[in-house]
Amino acid sequence: MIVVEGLTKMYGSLKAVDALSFSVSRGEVIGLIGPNGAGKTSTLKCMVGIQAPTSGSVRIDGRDIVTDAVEAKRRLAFMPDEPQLFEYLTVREHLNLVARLYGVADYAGRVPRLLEELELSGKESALPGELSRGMKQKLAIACGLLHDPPVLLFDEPLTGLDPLGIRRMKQTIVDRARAGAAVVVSSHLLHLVEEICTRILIIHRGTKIADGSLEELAARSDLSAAGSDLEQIFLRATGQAETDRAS
Amino acid sequence: MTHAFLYLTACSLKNRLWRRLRRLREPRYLAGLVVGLLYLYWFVVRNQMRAPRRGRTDLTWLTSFAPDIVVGGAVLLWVVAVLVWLWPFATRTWTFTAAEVQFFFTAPLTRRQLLNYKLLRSQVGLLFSVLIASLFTGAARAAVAGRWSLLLGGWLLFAAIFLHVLGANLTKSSFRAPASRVPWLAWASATLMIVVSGLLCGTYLVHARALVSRPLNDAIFGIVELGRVGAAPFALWPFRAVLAPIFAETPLAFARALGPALVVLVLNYVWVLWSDANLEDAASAAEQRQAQGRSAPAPVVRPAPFSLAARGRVETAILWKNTILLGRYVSLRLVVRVSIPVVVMAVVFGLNSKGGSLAPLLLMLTVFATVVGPFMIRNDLRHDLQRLAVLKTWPISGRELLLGELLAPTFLLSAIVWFLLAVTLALSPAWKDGPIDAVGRAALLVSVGLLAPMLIAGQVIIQNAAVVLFPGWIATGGARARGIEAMGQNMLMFAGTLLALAIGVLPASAIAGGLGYVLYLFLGWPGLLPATMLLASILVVEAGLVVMWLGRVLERTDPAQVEIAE
Repeated sequence: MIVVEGLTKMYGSLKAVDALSFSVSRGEVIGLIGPNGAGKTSTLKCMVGIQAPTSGSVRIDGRDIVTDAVEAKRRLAFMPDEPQLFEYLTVREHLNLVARLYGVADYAGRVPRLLEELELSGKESALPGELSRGMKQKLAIACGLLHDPPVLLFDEPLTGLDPLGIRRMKQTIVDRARAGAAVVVSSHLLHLVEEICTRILIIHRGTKIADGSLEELAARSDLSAAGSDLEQIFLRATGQAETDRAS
Repeated sequence: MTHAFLYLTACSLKNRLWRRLRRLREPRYLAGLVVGLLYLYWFVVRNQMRAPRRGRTDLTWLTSFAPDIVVGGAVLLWVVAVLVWLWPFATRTWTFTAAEVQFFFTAPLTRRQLLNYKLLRSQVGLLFSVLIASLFTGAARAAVAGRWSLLLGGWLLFAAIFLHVLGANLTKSSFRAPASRVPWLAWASATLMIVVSGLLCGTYLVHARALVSRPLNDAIFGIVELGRVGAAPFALWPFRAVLAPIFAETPLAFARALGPALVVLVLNYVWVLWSDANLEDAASAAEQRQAQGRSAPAPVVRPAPFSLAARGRVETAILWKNTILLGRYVSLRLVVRVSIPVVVMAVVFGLNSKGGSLAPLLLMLTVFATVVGPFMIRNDLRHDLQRLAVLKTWPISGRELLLGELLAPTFLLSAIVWFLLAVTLALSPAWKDGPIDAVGRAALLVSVGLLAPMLIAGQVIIQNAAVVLFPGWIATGGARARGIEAMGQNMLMFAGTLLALAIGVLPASAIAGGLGYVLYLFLGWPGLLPATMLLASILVVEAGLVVMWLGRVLERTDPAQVEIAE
């Protein structure tokens, strides 16, 4: 469903993403983790068409994000860490706009269910300025889920959510994957990744340093000393990468 | 504590200046600075340095009118004060930033210390404003004691106005509490304002009929004269006191005028210090407004202009969104701001033509809406470019996005222009009785009605093209860059827009104009119609080509290139 091949992103002379390749199948939830400045957000931005890759390609359901951008974007939703909303549109108007952009003919029936699922019922006429940080995040996610995309990309999806919201959000992500969506979750919350992701991709300085299920990573000879704890695996993998780099 | 506030003020000034200097490394700011400085030199400094010569504006005659100007100015100040007291919203005198609230409101500081800090910070801006104002009033300086009287007198005046507005806002916020908890000072100051206004209103109402029947110039002098009658001089005393130093003709007269002005200033200062009951509430509201944008008021939910179906062209969705944007920010305040100059001009035109036609004013507004409107109505990419990262995730092409963004300002301004044209034609008796017959008038109306939207759309396209091609040269969202270099940048962009419009319109106009002239010789005024349609068709094709090309550029634009103005 998602195929990333040799993705490279340069900012001037800085190489943020370096020949990154991976794929995500239907029903898979992949956790994209890495230290600050590893290139996670740049990777996500290139995958959703916000930034153009310097080289390499990203295909969403077989559509190239650069050469067939409109069709590729119809099939995905990106939920950024900081919700970007129009401060002058109400909750319902945001969903109305998204419905038109994605051509969701039956949106009137979907909206109440979605608002209920994301605990936004009763807030239909509220402006973003009247919503809490967590509610804004939920609205951004509702906008992303409205057209029921087969590809979902989340950047720190739990930021600002209360405990109940966190539990519901994790369930939402898992449910969508079970329904056949390919999901990418970028997060520093390793327990979240460990809990909901079927595969983990660790990147460091723009390159892939580990890719596989938690069991597969734990079984790798260079990471075996870390046991099956993702935090230890992460620290060992990124520390090892630094050592390799120094030598 | 004063040292800490002085330190903060000095550091802020130093760092702001340093940041402005550093950004001059970017060519756009350097070019803007050069243009801005050239403008200031040409229209201000050069004017100041030149020796007086024949034909140059001589304003020494102002000296003989100084007492009248002081009384007239005092009446004007009173009107402003009344408006401030009656205005239902707090004005922007409270501009505590989020950082100031975070650091100072949680620090062990008294309210008065905070107020003093706010007053101290405000003086920097006031002094700068007065300095600039004194530069632009070089010719008028001949009528006063000298540069320093203008500078010091101007500062006294602005500081007094600032303090009074601040005090009025604090007093108004005191009245939101239950009557039993309203402080005595709030009652006292409100009562004083009512007494002063009552005395002055009484004086003017008694003579209202006589004033209205006089010509405009006489009526103005009548208003000034009435300021010297009965109790009016006493009621106007504080307003005259703060104006008098500016118009003092000699250093001695200035020194004499200084005392009463200082008394008014100190009284206002004490009033503000004693009216600090609602500081936190007022500051908190101001902070919220500032967090929403430098000049943006909070949006107010109003019904959408039309319902948006789930299927259809995406351009309509963007038009819908941007029309909502405009509707949600049009406030009573904005309507009043726009209406005041229009009403004043209407009254002036009406008086001069003894109740005659408003057609010249409406025509002027039509031209204004066509030429300046596209720079002012910005509910297009100039507002949305800050959200480019979101727009780029939408499944639409750059051409569709750009076209959708252009629609809202173009439709709105076209509607305004059509309305003004229709009213102009309906109201103008000269037009009705003129040499052009009914068919000719209809042909002219249709021609202008067709071309005005083309000119508006052309300018909107150019402005949006500039924001896509040169992100950073045009401010996006509600932010505005400030400083001489920003002023120069704006002038460059204005000139560039007019030049681009000329390049786009003139060749087509030459072709259509030639055709129109030939057809006019044979068909009269109706001959204009085919020429206008030809011109409109050429402009539509040009616009279409530009939109297609710009759409591709927009698809390649990196959101990281879009800079938020300071």
